[in-house]
Amino acid sequence: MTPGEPIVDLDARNFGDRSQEALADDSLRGALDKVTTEFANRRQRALAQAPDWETWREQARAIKAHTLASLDSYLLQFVERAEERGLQVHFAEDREEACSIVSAIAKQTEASRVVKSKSMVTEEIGLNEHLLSQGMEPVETDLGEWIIQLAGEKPSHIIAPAIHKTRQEVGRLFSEELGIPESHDVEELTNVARRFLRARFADADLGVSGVNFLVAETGSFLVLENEGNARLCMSLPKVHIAVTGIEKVIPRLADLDVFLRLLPRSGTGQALTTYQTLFTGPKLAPGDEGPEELHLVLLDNGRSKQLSTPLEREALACIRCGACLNVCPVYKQVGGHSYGSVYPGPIGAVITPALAGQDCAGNLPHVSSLCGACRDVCPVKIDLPELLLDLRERGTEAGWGERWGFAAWSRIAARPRLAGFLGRVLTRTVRLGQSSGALSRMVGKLLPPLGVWNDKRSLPQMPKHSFRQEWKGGLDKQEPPT
Amino acid sequence: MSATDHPLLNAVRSRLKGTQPPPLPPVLDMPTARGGVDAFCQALEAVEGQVHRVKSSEDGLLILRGLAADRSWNAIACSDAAALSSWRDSVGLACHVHGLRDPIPRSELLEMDVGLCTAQLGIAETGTLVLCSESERHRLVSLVPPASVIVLFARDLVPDLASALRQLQTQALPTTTSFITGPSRTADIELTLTVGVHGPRSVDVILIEG
Repeated sequence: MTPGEPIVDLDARNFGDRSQEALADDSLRGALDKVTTEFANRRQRALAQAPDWETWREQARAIKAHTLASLDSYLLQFVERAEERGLQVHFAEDREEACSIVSAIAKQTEASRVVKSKSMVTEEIGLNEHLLSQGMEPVETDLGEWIIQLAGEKPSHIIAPAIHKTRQEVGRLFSEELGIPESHDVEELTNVARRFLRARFADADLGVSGVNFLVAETGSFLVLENEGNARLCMSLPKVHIAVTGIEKVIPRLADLDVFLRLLPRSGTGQALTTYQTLFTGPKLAPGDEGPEELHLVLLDNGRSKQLSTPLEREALACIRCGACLNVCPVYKQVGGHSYGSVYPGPIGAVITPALAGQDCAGNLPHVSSLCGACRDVCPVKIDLPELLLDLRERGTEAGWGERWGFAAWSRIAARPRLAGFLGRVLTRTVRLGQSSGALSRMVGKLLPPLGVWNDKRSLPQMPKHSFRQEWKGGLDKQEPPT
Repeated sequence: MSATDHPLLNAVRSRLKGTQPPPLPPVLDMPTARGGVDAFCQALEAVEGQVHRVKSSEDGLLILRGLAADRSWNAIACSDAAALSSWRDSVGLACHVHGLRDPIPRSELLEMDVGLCTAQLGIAETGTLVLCSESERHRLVSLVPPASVIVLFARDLVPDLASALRQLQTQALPTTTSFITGPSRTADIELTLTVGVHGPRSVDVILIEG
């Protein structure tokens, strides 16, 4: 991104082209296969130690269903409690407003050296691009996020943003961008991150992070991580801004227990991540540790539109563990970048249309085989296939060709003799064409949908007899009459 | 504008109009984990943490001295915990106290070899240390130096996270509550586990059982 460039839109229109590129990239497919398999295995091992898993899932699902159906009152409770404790809460209706709030706070506090910890919501609003355009220097400090920032890319996985890169690629990138000797040793590469980012932490004056959970009854917010960079972002700079979606609220402090049992196990297969930090307002004494000012930006950006029906609300229950990505037969083949959204995989296909609009992401709900593996692993039991079907239905507007075609088909199908006759004509023509090989190309030109279908697949060989013929002759007979 | 009338909340309200929310389930009554010192040690060691069990504060100090000698620590950043006041003078290292009135400057803190503090609670099931900000200034000393030594009294061990949350809620929550389970880690490159990325590379817990 260059400074001054407008915020890039979530644009998921070109799934087809991007997925073709991904499928042709052997290195990417190797990395994807390794990572999705390993994540899924780690999750399996963690679940083997958790006999009450189903009870936890059911509890979490019920808490989310209740909270989202009364989101207005829980948000209000959260804001009131948080403000009592001195947290400065800002509402943002869309991405532009969220970005402006952050840059306005930065200007007010004369902060320009920004350290960031991993946050999907700041990716969603394009915060880095915005801050750059305002003359600030945001630095990602999570190792994976830093790698993709140096590479000028976007995250490809919700919890492991740079998993599409091999150690060789990271080593080359560090060498080119930082002017250091190239190493392919993971430990050495990790040390490079520690060394370089320490220098940025040392003089940072603004910290930006995401949020995993907002606790309504105490006005607190919780951040999970493993590296310690989020703690540094939240402890060293004089100002801290946390940015999150309105759907992250849970009613009670005690509810954290069940969510902290589900989230790390589903994401990385850990019983608990290394760090959880619970913030309840800024520091009380001036000389104490932590930022002088603590802000929270609550973002809508299409979320409230998903509140109308119980099914749509389910999508807002997502706790961003990434488990559905690792088991998705589509994601496993094409990876996160093909989706063109910061939220890839099954959950991305569901929430991106709401965040970016049908125009940008209307085709994403079709990027699924509806196998249901995502629903089976979801820690909060989101019915992802049902949501995908619902979105497909709403995104589909039948054109005149389709309407006419289906009307004709239903009339023909209601007349057995006519249907049989036309069926015989069709199968014979196809058989004839297959013997010469010319027909499939011709059909493709005459009927565009078939052509698209045929482009990537070969037309199945026509059997000698139709089902109707076999049925007439008795299914158990080997040789039906012709 | 007060939060109540904000357009965003109104948008949420209008979308939810007529919705009958399903009931909020009671907090799950989970079987309490078995707890105890052994469980704590096992869980922490499983994530590359080290536990040193001692009978008294004096023995704990000996452990710290031994660690300092083994690992060639010179400068130690110490929180202002009252329980550590006697250790600070006799640890035998250049000891810098991170206090409310005279915090260690950021640039100096970055040069320290090890940070020392106490934990307010320990969670046996996961090997987690809970640091409450109102008790002492331990947020940075437990985070910035490459090594962390945390003193935990066995009487502050609770069996599981649910018990810890209940205990925290008996009074107003501190501004910052940090839950720490082992050393800092990452697996962002090829999912290869690497210990010690931004936070400490080692976490040694001195568990005082006396």
